[in-house]
Amino acid sequence: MEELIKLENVWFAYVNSNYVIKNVNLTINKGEIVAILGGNGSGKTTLIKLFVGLLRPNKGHVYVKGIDIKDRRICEIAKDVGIVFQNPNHQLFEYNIREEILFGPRNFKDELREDEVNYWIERLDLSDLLLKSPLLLSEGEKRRVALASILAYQPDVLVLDEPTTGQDRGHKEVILNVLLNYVKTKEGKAVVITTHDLDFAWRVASRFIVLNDGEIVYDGDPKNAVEKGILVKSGLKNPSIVELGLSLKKMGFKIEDYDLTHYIEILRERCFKR
Amino acid sequence: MRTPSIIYSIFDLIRFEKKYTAFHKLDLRTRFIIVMCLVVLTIFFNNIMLLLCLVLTSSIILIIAKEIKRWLKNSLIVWVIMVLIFLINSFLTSIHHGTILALRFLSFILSISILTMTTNPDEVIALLTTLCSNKKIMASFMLSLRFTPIMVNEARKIMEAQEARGWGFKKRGVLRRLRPIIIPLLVRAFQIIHNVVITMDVRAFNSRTRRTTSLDQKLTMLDYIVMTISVAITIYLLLVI
Repeated sequence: MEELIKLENVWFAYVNSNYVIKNVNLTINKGEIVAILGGNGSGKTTLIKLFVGLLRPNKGHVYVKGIDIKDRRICEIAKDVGIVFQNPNHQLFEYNIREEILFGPRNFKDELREDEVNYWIERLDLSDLLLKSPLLLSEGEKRRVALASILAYQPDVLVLDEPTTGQDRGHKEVILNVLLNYVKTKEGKAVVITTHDLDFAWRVASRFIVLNDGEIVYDGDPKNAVEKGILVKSGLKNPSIVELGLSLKKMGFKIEDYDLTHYIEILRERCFKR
Repeated sequence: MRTPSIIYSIFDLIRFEKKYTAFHKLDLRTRFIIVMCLVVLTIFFNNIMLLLCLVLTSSIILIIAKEIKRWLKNSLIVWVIMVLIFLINSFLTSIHHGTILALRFLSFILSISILTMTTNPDEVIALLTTLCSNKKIMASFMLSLRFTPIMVNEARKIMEAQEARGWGFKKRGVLRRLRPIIIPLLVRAFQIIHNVVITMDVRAFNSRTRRTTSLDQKLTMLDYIVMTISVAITIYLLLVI
């Protein structure tokens, strides 16, 4: 696997405070969808701000595509690492949504491929809103516009801070499909999300990174994390589908995979046996 | 130096940080009088040596307040303006006059920084609450003071968000460069004000005619001594020089 982002012994502290990121070592590889999980104040947002150079480490190094970001400008790093912030109100300013989405690509590319931009507009269910002012949208719609404005220039690493906040069930599915599609169809891309929505993280992520008080307590397979009880130990709750699976296990069912279809198959087998 | 870095450093040059030094322990009124004395002397002094003494005095106060490092770290823009003032005035009048104006500018910025870097907005609000009886005027003062650091923080977040979308990647004119920052900042300001007004109303802001404060507003003996010495020295210097 090829590394897109690499953090090497990274320590970070805000002015006049203790370290909030402590000796973090991690890599984000091509083709991965990584979920960074942790309680409030565990350092998730700080960690992703380090990826894009908005914060610079006090100790250690951050490499983006093999280059140390120490002397690189944020807008140069942003070409490779696109970040969608928690609050979309900090970035919306154009007179309509189409212009808002084109702001990012116009900064990086001299020639725009309209079909690529239109593709993300359609995928994020924004086609009907294109001529509306971004300032008049609901919070959920604003977030999707913010996501589209980053996807439109297709950075190698897409970083999202709490992407599901303010989204209804249907639009959560839309975002989930967009993220899966981004990694599957576009070669050499990776997605990083921070979230408290464990159900969403479980469905989308191929790897969990669990943070506790600025330290990585787990980095690996999601299934292993829930089975070892890492999430619960870090003050988080297991995804609902996993909770159901664990309950079935306690009842004596042989659960191999935490998936609804698998549960139905097992329950059906048991019913037919009887 | 890039535009965002300059703006960040100006923010840091005026931002209050909580510290527990002898200077911070003085009452706000005492600190205000000290700074006003420095400003008055800066305006009236026309001598290079005396202005240098004022710069030194302000620097010593910043050292006592443990703010000198932060000031020096963010003061590049001050030095640049100072050099420009010196060059323009030296060219138009004389080197002597240019030096005086440049030093006057430095002394003025140092004095004002002392006040802004060491004054907690809460102290100003508490003091005004004690002094002013009009609740609505007070509320306006309170909001403008309390929301200044919040708006500074918002501006910082907006700049971060736009930089992360490639703002500053291509060179553009000033207006086109500032538009992605100013519009979201104005929108955020209106949103915040709207939320605050609603929140104040639902928490019965209009129910009482006079408001109280929890902060102690008593002057100590040290405050009286420092105030008297500052005013006395200022009057003496103004009369003698």
